Amino acid sequence: MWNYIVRRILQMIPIIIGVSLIIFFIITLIPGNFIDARAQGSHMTFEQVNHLKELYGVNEPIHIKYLKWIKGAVKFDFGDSFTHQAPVSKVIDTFVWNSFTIAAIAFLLELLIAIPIGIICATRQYSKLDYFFTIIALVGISLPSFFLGLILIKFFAVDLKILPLAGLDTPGSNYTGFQFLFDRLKHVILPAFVLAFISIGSMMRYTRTAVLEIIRQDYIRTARAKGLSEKVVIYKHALRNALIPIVTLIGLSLPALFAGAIITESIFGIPGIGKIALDAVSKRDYPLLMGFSMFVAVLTLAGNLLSDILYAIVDPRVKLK
Amino acid sequence: MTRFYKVLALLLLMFSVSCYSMPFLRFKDYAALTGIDLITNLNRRIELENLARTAQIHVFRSTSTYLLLTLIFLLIALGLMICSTLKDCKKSLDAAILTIAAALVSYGLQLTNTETSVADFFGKILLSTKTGNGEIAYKPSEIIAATGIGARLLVVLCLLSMALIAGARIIAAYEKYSDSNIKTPWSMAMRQFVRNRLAIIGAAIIILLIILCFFGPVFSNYSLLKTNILTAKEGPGMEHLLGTDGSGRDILTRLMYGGRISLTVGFVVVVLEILIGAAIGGVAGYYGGRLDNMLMRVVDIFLSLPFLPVVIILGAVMSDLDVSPQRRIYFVMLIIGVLGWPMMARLVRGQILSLREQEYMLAAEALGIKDRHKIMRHLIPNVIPTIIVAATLAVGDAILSESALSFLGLGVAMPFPSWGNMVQAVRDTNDFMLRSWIWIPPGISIFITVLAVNFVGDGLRDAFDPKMKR
Amino acid sequence: MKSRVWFTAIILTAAMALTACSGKASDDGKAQDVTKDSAAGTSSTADVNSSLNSFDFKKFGVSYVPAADISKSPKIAMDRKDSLVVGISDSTGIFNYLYGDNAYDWYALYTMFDFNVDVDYDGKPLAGATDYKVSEDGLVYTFTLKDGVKFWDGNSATAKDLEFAYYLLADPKYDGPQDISKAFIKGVDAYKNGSAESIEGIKVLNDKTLEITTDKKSGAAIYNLQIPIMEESYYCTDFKKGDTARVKEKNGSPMGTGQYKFVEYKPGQELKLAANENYYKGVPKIKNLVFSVTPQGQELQRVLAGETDIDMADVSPDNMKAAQTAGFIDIYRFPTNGYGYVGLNDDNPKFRDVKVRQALMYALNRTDVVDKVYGEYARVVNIPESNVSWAYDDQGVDTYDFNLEKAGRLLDEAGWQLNSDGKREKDGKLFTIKFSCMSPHAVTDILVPVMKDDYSKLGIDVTVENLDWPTLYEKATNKQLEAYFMAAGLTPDPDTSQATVFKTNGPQNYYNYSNPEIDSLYDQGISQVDIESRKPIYKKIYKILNNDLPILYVYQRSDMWVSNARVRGYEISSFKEFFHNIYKCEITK
Repeated sequence: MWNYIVRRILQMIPIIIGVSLIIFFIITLIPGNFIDARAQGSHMTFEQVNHLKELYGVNEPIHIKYLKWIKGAVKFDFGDSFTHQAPVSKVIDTFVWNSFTIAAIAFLLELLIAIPIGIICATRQYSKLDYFFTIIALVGISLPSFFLGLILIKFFAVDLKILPLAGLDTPGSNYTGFQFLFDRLKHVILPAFVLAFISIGSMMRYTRTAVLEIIRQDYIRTARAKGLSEKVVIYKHALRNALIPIVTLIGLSLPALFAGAIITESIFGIPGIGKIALDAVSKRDYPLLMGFSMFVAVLTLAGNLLSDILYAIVDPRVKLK
Repeated sequence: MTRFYKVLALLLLMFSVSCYSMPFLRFKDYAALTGIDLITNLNRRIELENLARTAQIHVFRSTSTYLLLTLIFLLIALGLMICSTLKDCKKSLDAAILTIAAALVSYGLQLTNTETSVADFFGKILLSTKTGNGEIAYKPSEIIAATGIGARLLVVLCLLSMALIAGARIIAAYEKYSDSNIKTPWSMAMRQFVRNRLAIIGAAIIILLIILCFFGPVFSNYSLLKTNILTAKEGPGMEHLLGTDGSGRDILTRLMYGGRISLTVGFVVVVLEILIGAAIGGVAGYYGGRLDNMLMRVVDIFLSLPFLPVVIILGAVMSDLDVSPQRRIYFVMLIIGVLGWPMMARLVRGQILSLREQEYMLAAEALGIKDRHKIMRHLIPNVIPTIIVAATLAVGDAILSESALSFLGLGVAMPFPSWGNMVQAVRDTNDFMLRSWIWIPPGISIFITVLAVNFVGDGLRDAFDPKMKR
Repeated sequence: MKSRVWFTAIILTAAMALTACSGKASDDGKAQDVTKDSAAGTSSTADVNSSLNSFDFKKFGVSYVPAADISKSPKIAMDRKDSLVVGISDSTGIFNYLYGDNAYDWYALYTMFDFNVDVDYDGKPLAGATDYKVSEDGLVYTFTLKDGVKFWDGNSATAKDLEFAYYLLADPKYDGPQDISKAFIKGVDAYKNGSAESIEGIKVLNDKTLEITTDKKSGAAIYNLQIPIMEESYYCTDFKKGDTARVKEKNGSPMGTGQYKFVEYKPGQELKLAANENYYKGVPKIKNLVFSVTPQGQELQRVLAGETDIDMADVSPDNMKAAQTAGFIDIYRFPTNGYGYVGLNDDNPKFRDVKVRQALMYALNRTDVVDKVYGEYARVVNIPESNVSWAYDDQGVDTYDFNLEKAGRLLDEAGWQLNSDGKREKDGKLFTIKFSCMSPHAVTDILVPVMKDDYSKLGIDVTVENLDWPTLYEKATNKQLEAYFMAAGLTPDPDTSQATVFKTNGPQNYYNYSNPEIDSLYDQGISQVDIESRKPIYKKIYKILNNDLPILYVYQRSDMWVSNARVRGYEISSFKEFFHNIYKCEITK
């Protein structure tokens, strides 16, 4: 098992290098740079602009820039964000937790809603209920997150005025304890719902398929033939095995939990890592952009590994080699 | 029964050809132009006939080669239909459907010319003036023009006759199917699919959307880019069914054009994904070994690229490459396609790996069947269902990605509409709160389109999956 | 909408970088509202708590419309008994004036730091936390700290603290957005680029006094010498050359002498400040000050909802109406110190002919566009100057009213004839324009379609390219664009911001415009000291610029602050933000 994990991690290295090369290359393709963007406002002299470009290393050739970056990255130093004037890792650490709060609530909602409904749909395949939830699932998958978010803001914050327009806390409030939690909840409920609703569909369908596959297995038929009640058959025999593939989804959700939701965060004005990354594009904050992209890439790979490991833990039939 | 359909279709086709003698373009204060006028005056100026005989001299220059093509296709279809009614030949029926479709496509292409006014569908109206040295010069004119009844009727009649012929064809096929006992996997899947009500609804919605988006503009009296700030931000009403946007453009018209973009993006992206993904996945799966290993690492790299950040960065890059707004959409397609293929590659590879283990492949091996033959006859047909299902669902994803990108201002650029950049109007908070007609319809359009695609995809998945049989 | 941030940044810096301010911005009676001031008569006058709003808004060209009914203010706002919440669009958390380059962080910095020199409401320099003297020859500046200027930790500010800020700015490793070289301090170059261990021109005379010697007489130097009072012993004891990293560590935890003390910062979300009980000008009347990050476009909504007390909202008829209907909103509106324009590359063969540029101006329906976007809250401009400036004189200038026929005639005269397709053609080349702009953007979203449409009637095809701000800016400054939309900032003195733009090869002359007459007129203008004798020179300049049209001037709009009327006492003008004097603000209800 440990061998396997070490080998997988070693295998990740070339992939990470490949990803960093691609991202680095396309980032340097973007026209405009931080210093020129800044110079406009401050009427700097040409000399000062050039001096700053040197300090920030804006004009260095791509390969030098990349080598510098990778040299630092090995030591977990991803450079300083231009706009935040702080190490990229610190910037990510600052903002990722706001994203995580929302994503975690969304993920919990998703699990709590999608799995039970998926099971119900599978046990009553082709019933009216199944149809109904299938439609709901597909509706969720088909809704553009920005549109759903906007509609919800329009309805709950603008028309009904029962939820705030944006942000994480009521500004100027000094709530503590329960009051704080309640206030926070009021702010995060809409974005969390958006995130949950657009992904509930696929998890529901996934659960449904997993359960259906199991139900068709011979051992279930045997259990039924034995005369066991349907409840026992489903919940004792079928469900346990059906949940195995679902467990792996937890691993695959890792990036979704930490990488932030660029569009949803922008719409709801949440200071999360996704919104910061979007700002970094418009401000040409390359170190932050690069650091963030790599952060997501590594999360994706780690998520895949985690899901494989989880699979092996949950399902004794799977041998990692 | 089929014969009745065919005769009816034949009559409709005749009518649609006769549409050419009806007005295609109407002008204020001037006599209308018929389809025949437009064709016979290709690349020649015709003086518009002035009703009141007081206005300035306007000339019209037709550029409507597509209209001529449409007529030719229609005539061929007419011939084929006569042939088929006389001799009851199925092949000519198929050919007729195809030629009518071709006629419609060329007619639809005609409608993509959207620069300034409705008249530009078919040509340009110019104001002729005498210059100082006595020569005649031409200026773009502001004369108000609208599409005539003929242009509209043509679309309706063509579509109807095509539907009738298709109906006849399906009835014939169904009769054949119920007569014979041979059930191919395809016909079984088809049956399964038809029984799925949601999938049928989805398919119907998609067909309707295609018709609306590609032929709808001919029924609109407003053109895509023509602005009129005096009528900006008007609410829905009789003049503008869905209101106007911030620059006074008709929202319904823009919706239809935006829909063309979304639908095109969906299909082109998926074709790209299939071309790259299936090829790479197929090669990796079939040859295996080191090649497979290498290709799969490439796939891994692409799969680990964070989709939205990379798309956003590429969107920013695109704005520097001197990409004109009209052409930007192709880059959007390329970006989404290039980032989307690895999923397809994985899927195809997995399918091929499992197929290679099947007994019949062993048998094929033992019989010494050629590689090409093995791939073409045994592997590909078995992979196609997987690809079709994945591709259909990918269409929905591609449309969503494009709309998100355009919403962020990095996709299709103004003034050309896409559903995503139409929703962008919400950035004006007052439009967001008070004038929901500006941004809700495009949002709903995205939703309905993707939902319909997903209905179909879901239906196809069930249809091809033998385990899902009821 | 991004443009707003940048535009504000331009304005702020413009105000900072004003030079040679012998000019009186608006106190010579020329002050006029930027618009027709329609709302004036209604509710704007007398009956308001006159003691609180004693500030003379009219004098500085500010239109102040007080709320009609404060009682309509939402409960959530009324419940905030001791705090003022200011909405800002962005915050990066760099609370060091010398390093931050976000206009919204500066708002907070104005309340946390005092400066040695301030700018007055009319744009003139003003003694800040120091009294300053300039020597007869204009080369030596002496700054003496005022009594009672104390840091939050209780220490008194000293001349060493002033010295520290200059040394930081002059450090070779300094990588912030300020540029001290424009102040011409003696020995800065030797320190920055050479091996000198100290700056020759900076001398600490005593505990409270600092003397600065400059190389060159410059009217702008006093503005470029502006620095915040930062405590050296807190930021970096014994600051040595190259020691900037230590200072930067403190970017997130400032230490100043200002009206409000730093309390807490929630990244990207809000900044909490508390009143400085020892503030040398008097204790701030409101105990807590909160800056809350508000998504772009929601500024007014959050004030209306009571979530924030004051914010700068986009000025538009819609927003104006919403603010006025709400009843409890005070509106402060003043001319934005800048104008929007269509930039052209005058060196491009297509635009080289003045007649062509004039034709393009006549064919641009500026009135309708401006009216649609801003209604009465902006005006069409025909010369590149703010109408609150003393140099403004539009008598006898061409107004270029929308006239397609005239435009067509001018093009004909310039040799661009219509060809058989109705397109303009000259020497076998078609007249097409590639227009670059930002989108979405309130102005271009309307301007561009209208322009495209009208120009096509002239026989000119316009293709549009949408760029984001950094790209547009880079390409425009590198003169790579054919035509584009941008906004320019103005300064109180007509020379500072404009001479560099319109003089041949001026650093901001991105348009390749060149007219020897303009060059010499600008030289004449700056050499005169007396305003009255300068006025006719600038009148001439603007007359020429109005005829030459190096760029197509479009509009000057207003800035609008919307405020919950429960807080009053803001002092504001085109040239100075109310944050500088926020300690005077008071919760009235």
